[in-house]
Amino acid sequence: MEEQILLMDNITVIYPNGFAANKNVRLACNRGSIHALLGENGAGKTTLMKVLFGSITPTEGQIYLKGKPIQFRDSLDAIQHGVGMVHQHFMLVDELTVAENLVLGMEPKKRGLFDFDAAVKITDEIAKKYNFEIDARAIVGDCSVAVKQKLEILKALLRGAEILILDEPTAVLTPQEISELFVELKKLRDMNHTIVFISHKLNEVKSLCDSFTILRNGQVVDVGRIDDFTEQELSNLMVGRQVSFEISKDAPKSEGRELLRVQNLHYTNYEGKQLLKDVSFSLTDGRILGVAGVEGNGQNELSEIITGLRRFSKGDITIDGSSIKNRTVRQIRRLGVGSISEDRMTYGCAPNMSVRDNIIADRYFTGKYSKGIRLDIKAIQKDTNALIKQFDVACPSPDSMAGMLSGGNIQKIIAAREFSSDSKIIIANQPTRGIDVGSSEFIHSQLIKMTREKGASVLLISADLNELIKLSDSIIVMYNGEITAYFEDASKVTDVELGEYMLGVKKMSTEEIGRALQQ
Amino acid sequence: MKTSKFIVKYFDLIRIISAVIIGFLLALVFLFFVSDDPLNAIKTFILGPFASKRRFFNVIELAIPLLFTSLGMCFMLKVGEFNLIVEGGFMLSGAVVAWLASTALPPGIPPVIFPALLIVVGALVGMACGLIPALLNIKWKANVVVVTIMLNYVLTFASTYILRYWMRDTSVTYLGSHKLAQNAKLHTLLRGTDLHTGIFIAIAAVLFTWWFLNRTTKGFEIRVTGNNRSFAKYVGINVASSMLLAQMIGGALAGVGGAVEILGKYDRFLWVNQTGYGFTGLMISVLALNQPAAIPFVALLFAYLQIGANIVGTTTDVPSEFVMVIQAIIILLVAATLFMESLRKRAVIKLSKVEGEVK
Repeated sequence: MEEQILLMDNITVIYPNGFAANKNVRLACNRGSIHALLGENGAGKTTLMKVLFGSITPTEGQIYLKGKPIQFRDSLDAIQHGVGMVHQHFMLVDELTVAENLVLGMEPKKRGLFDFDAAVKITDEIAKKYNFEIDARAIVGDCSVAVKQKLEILKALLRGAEILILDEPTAVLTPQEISELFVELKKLRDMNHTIVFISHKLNEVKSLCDSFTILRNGQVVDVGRIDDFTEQELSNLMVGRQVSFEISKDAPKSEGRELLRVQNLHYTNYEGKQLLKDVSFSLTDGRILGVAGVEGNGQNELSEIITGLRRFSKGDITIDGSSIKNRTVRQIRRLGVGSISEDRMTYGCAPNMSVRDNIIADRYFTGKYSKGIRLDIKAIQKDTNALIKQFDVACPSPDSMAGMLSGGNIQKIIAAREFSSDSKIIIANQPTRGIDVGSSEFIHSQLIKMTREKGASVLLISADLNELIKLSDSIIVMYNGEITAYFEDASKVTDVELGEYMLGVKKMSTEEIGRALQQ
Repeated sequence: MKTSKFIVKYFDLIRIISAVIIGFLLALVFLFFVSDDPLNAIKTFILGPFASKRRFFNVIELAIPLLFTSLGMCFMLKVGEFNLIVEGGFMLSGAVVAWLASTALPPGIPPVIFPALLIVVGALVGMACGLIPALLNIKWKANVVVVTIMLNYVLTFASTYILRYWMRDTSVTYLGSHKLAQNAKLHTLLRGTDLHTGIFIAIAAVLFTWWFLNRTTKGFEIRVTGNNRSFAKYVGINVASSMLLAQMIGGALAGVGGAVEILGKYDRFLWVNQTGYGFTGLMISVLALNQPAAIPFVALLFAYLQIGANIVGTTTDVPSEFVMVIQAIIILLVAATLFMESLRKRAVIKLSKVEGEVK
């Protein structure tokens, strides 16, 4: 008989803002299995795992570990009981080596001082035991995302984790790295470790996991063995309705007018690190250009430079013919640039201001909404009410604080602002990260509408290769601040192919890349 | 269900009123320990301000300077800067205005024009005071709190310097300026009280603050900047200029307050120490949750407490400083964000459960 190592019974979590993230959730895992925790963004997966890891105390419910009821005081307590977690955002010290990070908090000592050689030895031993390949002496800041993730897993294992929680571990990896990770995870399972695998990518879950629990709106909708269900069945359960994975879009109707031109762009940050090297591409009206790349390869800098938040060092950028050199953010916006930032709580909204204020934040000063310094409240109310309706923002009232809404609704507020300002170019940086399927579909359709109906261009930066391939007309790949590939026709690219360029394994010739910039 | 809804909706108000009540109750307990006749002290404290016309108007008179400093603080806090210069700006503006009215300017300037001119000067002095820490902060990232705490001392000593060397009346035994010109003073409104026309300026300042912050483009920029600076940059707001503007206006309001106070209530300039109005203004603005519409009520409450305490200090055996106990407790409870949080949490959980069942 299989041993039930973990049971979370009747867990309810209500956040201080009244949001019930988990409602009477039950999760059971057997020893030596990989259990998938499925659900859309916002379904309550992360909350449930935070309860298991001791970082949230549930409002109601009980956790049983190996049949015994237990209550974790904090994460440290959870770790001591053999529960380890690898977060979406790594908890590592970039300046230290792999070995130092691994033993952090339990450092080997010789005569009262830190013993680096012993740390390296510990690292090599544990890596060998679990068959991970890792360089103990490498500085973490220089390592790839995949290596950092391995390090996080080893950290948990070194602290005696029997149950390992992986929160969307594949979101930041290339297809090649994913298959490598899966081999290692299966090995861990065979060594009798239990893994809780959080994901919403069903093909991965199918190939890796044994059993699953599906959450929707904070409640369990189904549990079962992975083999008994098809991908389509699982996804329908997840979303609660029939979903189509296809994004339908017409062929681009381009007049060939060049709206964005980036030429020989260089950017060096204040620490003297060169983050963009000789980047050149152009974008004509009515088209979506995708930017693929592992995070941190210059995509964020590129989007911040085009929107005016950073100044570039060399080269030039023109928007519909006018250079943006030495222009302020507002001047660039007036040229017709709209942007969706990857970090919506920092750059996308003012959380303690009303939905209405958030929508007009880029246009309150125009003649339409103000006379002199006086705001025309009536005009503002009329237009924002219409936009809230048009963009389907679910809020109690236009005066509600934006920060009280869900991630998907905040993204809709941002869309209502950025898509309604007659933009010629939209810089969409991770526009659907962390929001539910319904809101993602809405954002996708709006992006397509902007290009196909209004003739705008979209620069789509995304870590989600599926989204990228389906939405984009053409794709460029960025690696280490450079463009390493250009695909004229996005529909003829596979994610594996993109992965090779994203990892820097392959690079196209200068001539091929040069075609990204139309002469 | 209904109570839960009420609690969630009016939580901030409930919290503040509870804090005020608890502050009061604890102060009463305190009075019992220090006074030989506690019941009399309590009665004097609570009812004293209503015992005569003069006392009642004392409350309103005291609310006037508090309104200016708290509105000034409101601008500082709205833009997200803990700029405490209202304290020193208030005092320096009073000193400069008193010097102009007593010594520097000819006393023959016609009535209405004279005080109007002086109030404008007061505003400019306050504005300059607000500008210094703001510029240091924007240009060199100097911490506004540290700069203003230190600068307040500089302004205090600058004020006493003006008093000692520019306008001291050596014919009186105490340290005071020459008499202010009669034409420069604000009129008294009611016989038998010191209520002066400055009250209208104070009311205008409240309306201006509400209007400016909520109904103008510049006020919008200040609010966005104070709420989320990164977002302000991202939508193209000039963050530095809205920080500068807010702190200049905040300083100017404090300056007007100093001028109005001197011209409305004093014959001579007598301040040799910090007035404390700036720090009380900070407490008022925090307690009013930075809402200009709520500030007059809180300012009146603080004025009432202070006048009650003054009466207790002069007529009973309890020193008036005990009122600080109340103020401290109220601010402590309001600043402690988790105070009464469990009440809200229970209400929220109840509500969300009921809603869950309905669905």
